[in-house]
Amino acid sequence: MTVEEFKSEVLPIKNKLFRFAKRLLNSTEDAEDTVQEVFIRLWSKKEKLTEYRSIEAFAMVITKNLCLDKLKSTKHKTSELTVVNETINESTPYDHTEITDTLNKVHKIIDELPEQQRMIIQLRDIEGCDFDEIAEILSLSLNTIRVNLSRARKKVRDVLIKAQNYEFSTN
Amino acid sequence: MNSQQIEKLLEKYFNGDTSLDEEKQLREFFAKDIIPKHLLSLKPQFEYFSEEKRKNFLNDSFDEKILENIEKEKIISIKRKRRNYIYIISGVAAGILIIVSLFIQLNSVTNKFENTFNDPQLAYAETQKALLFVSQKLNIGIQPVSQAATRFDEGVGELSKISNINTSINELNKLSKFYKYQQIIINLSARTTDN
Repeated sequence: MTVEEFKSEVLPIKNKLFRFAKRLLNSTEDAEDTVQEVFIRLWSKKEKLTEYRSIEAFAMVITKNLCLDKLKSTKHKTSELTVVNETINESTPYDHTEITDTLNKVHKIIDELPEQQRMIIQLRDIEGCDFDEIAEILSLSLNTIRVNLSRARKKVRDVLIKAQNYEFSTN
Repeated sequence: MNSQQIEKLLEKYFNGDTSLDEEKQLREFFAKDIIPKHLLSLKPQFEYFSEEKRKNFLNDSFDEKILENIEKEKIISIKRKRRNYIYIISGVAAGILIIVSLFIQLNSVTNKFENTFNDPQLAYAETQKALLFVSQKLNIGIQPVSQAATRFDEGVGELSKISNINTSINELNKLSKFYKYQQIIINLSARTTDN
């Protein structure tokens, strides 16, 4: 694979990888670093790359693994140092206006979902992947995906409704 | 799309049974400004999905960074490849050298003992003939030497007769007596002439 082919065929998936990494790592900077590493790994495998049925799915798997490794090591680090560094989180990427406040709420709800559900809702509702793709990336059964997706969606809905009811009752 | 259809779709959606196309319809529905009040609380959920995709992207400077890294990687891999080539070529050259030198060595060894005959009987006869010829010539060469040696011995035998000289010399010693008598005679003759 030439640089030109890499540029036109592989590089365009960067945003999908970036959003997925950001969903897991909750940091723009870490997500960008991770995606960069993914591309370097992809380039180093450029001879075999065309053999894969879907380069995108392969890249997503690498991204997922790198992110989970990173999470594991940072978790390990923080527990070692006993430094709770929760002040640095980008859980509110939207500006504080009334409309974006609700979007921030959704972001926070998704952020608090279990890792697996977070990945599934990201891949399905934001990236629009079909179930087979998600199954390949996360190596889960179609049924598991459907069940977890349903749970995640319902969780977002329920929290939003609850919040709205609370607003109504206070108003 | 009326709200009844939407509610049906929503039920499917929350059970995880909607198709990608149906989900797109839902997002489009909730992107509109006018939404039935009882569905309003779901608006941010669908808005968020579109917004997330729209807001998060990597710009061109990321591409440049990647391509820069790739170029670096390329140069390194070319260098590595070139080094590998050198290793391979030198290895092959060393191998050829060893094989050639071994070949030459073995060849020279086998050449010494290489058979130039087809019939061993004939070779035996030939060898015998050659050795016979050599011994004959050797004998001929030795004959004059041994003759000369016997003559030399004869000569040496003659020389041993020199020991006879001693006895002859003893005989000659007797001549001194003659000299003594001569002196006496001279003395006597002188006395007689005086008288």
